[in-house]
Amino acid sequence: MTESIPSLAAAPSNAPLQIGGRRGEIRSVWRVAWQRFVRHRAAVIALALLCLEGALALAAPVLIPADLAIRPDPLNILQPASSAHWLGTDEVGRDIFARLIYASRISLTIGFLSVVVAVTVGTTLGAVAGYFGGAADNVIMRLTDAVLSIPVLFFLIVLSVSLGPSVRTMIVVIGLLSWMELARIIRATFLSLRHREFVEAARTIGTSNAAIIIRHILPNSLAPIVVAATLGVGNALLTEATVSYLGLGVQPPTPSWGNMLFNAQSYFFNAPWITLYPGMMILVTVLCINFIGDGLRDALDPRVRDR
Amino acid sequence: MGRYIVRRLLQAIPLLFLISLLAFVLIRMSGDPMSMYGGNAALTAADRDRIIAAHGWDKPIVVQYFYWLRDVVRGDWGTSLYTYQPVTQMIWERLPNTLILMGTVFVLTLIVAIPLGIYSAIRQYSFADYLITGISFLAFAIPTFWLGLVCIMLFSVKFKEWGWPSLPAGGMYDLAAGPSFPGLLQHLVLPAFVLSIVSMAGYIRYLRASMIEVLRDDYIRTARAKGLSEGSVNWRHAFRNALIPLVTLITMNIPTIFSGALVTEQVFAWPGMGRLFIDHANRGDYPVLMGLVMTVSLLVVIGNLLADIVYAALDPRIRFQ
Repeated sequence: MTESIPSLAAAPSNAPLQIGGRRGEIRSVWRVAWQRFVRHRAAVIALALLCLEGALALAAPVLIPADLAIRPDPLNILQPASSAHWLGTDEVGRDIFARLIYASRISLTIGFLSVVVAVTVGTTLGAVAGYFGGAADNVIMRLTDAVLSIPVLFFLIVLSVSLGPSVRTMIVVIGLLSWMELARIIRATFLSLRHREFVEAARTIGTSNAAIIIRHILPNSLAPIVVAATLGVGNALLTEATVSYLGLGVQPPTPSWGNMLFNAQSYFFNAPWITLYPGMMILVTVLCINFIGDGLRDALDPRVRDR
Repeated sequence: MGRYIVRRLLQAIPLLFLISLLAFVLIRMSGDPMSMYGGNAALTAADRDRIIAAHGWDKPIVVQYFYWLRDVVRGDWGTSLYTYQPVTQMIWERLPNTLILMGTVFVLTLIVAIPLGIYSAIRQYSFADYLITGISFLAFAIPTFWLGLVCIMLFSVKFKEWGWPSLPAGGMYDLAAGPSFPGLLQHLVLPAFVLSIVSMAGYIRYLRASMIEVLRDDYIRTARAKGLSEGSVNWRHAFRNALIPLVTLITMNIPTIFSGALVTEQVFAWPGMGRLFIDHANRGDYPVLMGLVMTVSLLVVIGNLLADIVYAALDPRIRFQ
């Protein structure tokens, strides 16, 4: 078992990916994927930046007093960047840099957790539709089409108002409106694999449907799930920012990158930095996530490697 | 063809039913219409009960839905709970404005994205290709509303401050000058630009990938082998086939454009349906909100149908049955 690890890892980069087989081989496939990912320079830089951002967000309470981000300071409103306030202050005198870091805690949480919701829903529905086919497939795919033809933002606003805007609402709502693409991908994989020999074999020895779905077929669709989930985080961040900007998402005084821009329009003239920094933060973060998604696609999808 | 269209529209009815039921339940849960009478002291408890009973708000939400559906089937979309205007009239006033914005964005996107995507594919890995791909990658990550804010800040506020010719920051017409075509164009520039940039990104990436794929096909090699010029191969053989998946992309994109238009209208104070929606979303004004959701859904259905017809016209392998 251990012999296959060095042999696969040392294989030339354009050797076909072997998925499945014995345990040791599966592990080495991920190692090969990692080596391929590392060669995507932009993705590696993006991953480093994102890790830095995550570390800052986690360590925020230790590094920066929360007061700076939350308590108004009437004597220091609309200050431009200085050594005391690295990125200036907003209309009630809160430090923009501190707010950005505290906001990243909220925004990143929403981004990642809503994708967890989306992956759970999408994978479950896609697997059931693709594995069982027939009526279940029909109903689920009609539902998917219906949700896909909904202009998401309209429903997001309605849902957010009806459930009461909060971080938890944003996570659930964004998750519930972004599982469709994933469901389709998973369904397609299941459709193509459900009559393959290894599935039939598992069935003949009496494996339950649930076990076949989870243990035998799902691992084969891990790569597209990982890529779609990564890109999903970027989309979720953009959506959260939009809804919060409209005043219907995360509610002040809790800062999020979106709601920091809520009043920005009134201060274009005097304090352009209020508008610039939160947007740049969103842009850079989403850009990093998209680069990582790109790198993961190159690393995990054997079909795109020759591009 | 006529029968195909009719059948597709009939197929859309269950979908619209599902969307309307879902939307109604959510919207009715989202706000209490009685709250608008808030602290009105002149209103006795008996008055409140009468108002509630008159609207049927004491009934279960699903029952209320069927009241609403019954009226809609009869052609009555109700009146706004706030302005008392008929919902059809309110939407009718806003619909053309949204369509002007979206239509402009749509045309602009295609005019710019198609040549750029194709060029990027033909000259793969050239400087221009990297530039185009890079910019579209960037545009993919920009929040639409923030790009709008930055554009207003630069082209309206700062340009004015510097004494340069500046663009209007919002609205559809100059209030003092009144509605005019040049005025409309001036106000359209920024919102249309912002929305187009964001939607172009997707089209360019998609077209580039699709064209690269087609250029690798055997029949392209055959065309080259028989001595056709590079231009003829690219434009007459590859381009037309690369265009076919584009139609699918357009279909998938229609709901997204509506979402984009909603927030862009908010940023630029464009008096369209999205702005109307946001204005009434917090108030539980369900007749207006339902009217808007259904209008948008219907437009999406029609858009999908149009895309499928174009698809069949482009691809001879597809026939209406």
